[in-house]
Amino acid sequence: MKEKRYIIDTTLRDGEQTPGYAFTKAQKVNLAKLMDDAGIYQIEAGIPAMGNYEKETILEIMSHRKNALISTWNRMSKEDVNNSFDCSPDIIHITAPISYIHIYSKLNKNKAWLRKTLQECVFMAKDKGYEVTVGFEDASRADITFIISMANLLSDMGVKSIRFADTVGVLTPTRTYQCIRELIENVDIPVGIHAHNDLGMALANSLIAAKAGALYVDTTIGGIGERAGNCDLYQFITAAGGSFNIMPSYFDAANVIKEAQNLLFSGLNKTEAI
Amino acid sequence: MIKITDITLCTFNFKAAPEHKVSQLYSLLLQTGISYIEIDIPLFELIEETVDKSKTVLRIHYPTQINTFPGFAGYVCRLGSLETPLNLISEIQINDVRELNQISKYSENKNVRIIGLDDLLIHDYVNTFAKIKEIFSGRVEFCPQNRYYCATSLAAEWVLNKGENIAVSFCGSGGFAALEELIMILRIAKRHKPNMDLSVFRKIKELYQELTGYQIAGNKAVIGDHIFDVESGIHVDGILKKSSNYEPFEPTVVGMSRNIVIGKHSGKSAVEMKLKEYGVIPKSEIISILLTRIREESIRLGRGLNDREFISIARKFS
Repeated sequence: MKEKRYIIDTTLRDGEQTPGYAFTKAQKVNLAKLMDDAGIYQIEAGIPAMGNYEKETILEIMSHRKNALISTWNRMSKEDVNNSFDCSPDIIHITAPISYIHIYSKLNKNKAWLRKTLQECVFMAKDKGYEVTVGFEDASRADITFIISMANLLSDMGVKSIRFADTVGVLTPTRTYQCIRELIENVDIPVGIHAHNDLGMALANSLIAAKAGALYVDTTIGGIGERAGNCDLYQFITAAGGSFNIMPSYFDAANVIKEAQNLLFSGLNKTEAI
Repeated sequence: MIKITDITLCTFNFKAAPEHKVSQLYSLLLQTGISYIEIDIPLFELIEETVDKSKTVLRIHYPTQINTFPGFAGYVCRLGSLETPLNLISEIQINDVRELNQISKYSENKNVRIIGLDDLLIHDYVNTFAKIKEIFSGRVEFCPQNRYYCATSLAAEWVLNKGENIAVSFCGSGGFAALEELIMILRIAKRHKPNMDLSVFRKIKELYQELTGYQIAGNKAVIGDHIFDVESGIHVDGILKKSSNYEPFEPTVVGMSRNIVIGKHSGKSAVEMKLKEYGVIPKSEIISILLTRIREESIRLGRGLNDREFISIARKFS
């Protein structure tokens, strides 16, 4: 019997972060409906901290939702989490920089600060009764023992799952397998993979992560996303569908892609009028 | 020693292309750090003057054609028999892992290229690579195909698992692993840098598009026109502090430059930087109002703002 794996589609968050892309409320709501109908497990609907327009969009997505779980994306900040409360999502996802490059060089902070701030944000959301997931940003360049210690801490706090993000897309399949196995063998919390395509291996790394035991796989429609994009939903289903019990089916994924192309990219040529 | 053979020129029809353009593409491909470039007989006859035989592998139909076209670094032939010269590579098509048990019957061949194995990544690829190398005592070249979108990673893993010979094509032309991706992976994962200057990819891209009529996607890994565009607040801020925060390699490595895009996801850092570029000095208290206005306009247009649109809005607040 094939093992189950779950798609978390982030077209509406990481996908929309593709430079130059700006989806309207109607586009995002309709796309979420399509993905929900196709059986996608979780839809990362957006970033409430971006403002009222984004919040209204997420609320409308929530109101039409049938089966998919709706999550919101937050930086590791109480203000962001507060903004998410306004949308009453199923899941509040908090992203924490985990590599020393990001903690020390980008943020000029330290591990103690990270631990404290992340705990505060998670507590704040859990205290309100929300399911919380945590993404480890730049995990592929991080100290795996630090990731393990943070994951165990989060597991004790009741966090639902952790996400291993190859933020700059530098993983290779074998390295992906090693990282995911090491995590799974040392933590008591489900693991997901979020891969970027900078070296053309987002799909391969996601596939290998699933093979290594990652339960959740992040995708976007058409592989859109920052720089060279993310793992392409349709391509992932094509490659992984034979090995895993996964939704959407190949035909439903093909249908979502077709409909989404019309929905998202047919009106990109609007003229300027300021 | 890693030996990369580029097979791009055998993957598309160049019959309508001007000879000098094809020659130029041949020469540029040789500058990417590859060891050999593969061409077929009609192409050789077209660009004979340009061809450096010591770096070229000729694709032939029958082993006997080696005598007609002597002097090449190697020859590739689908129908290579057992009694063949050492510089002839016999190409064996193995479509998927179920066909792997057939390869032992070719074990007497001195040089082989295994082409296909699209689905290998989902299986035990490390042990399969070891088995392939054990069966063939001479030169073994792997040329993974891309039906499951994993050709580049298979090529990379072959090399990272001590496979010495690999065949790829620019942009994965013809359904193979992408040359530019493999070169960059080996540069990052293995510090393998046979060619320090990869800006040649840019010229190859332009020429490849011109000759094939194929438009390479803006987000194509390593060579896409827009891979160094950056818009979202968190990324712009991180990149401005240190590019390695959010980029695996500098844009200049591949002859490109970074472009800050202003749009729905822009943050304060990006807006301030862009304004500085145009010498517009905004009142500090209006940056957040300006960001809101940019967001509204970007949503209305369904895209990011071009510089003219952005400056037009910004001047109203300066």
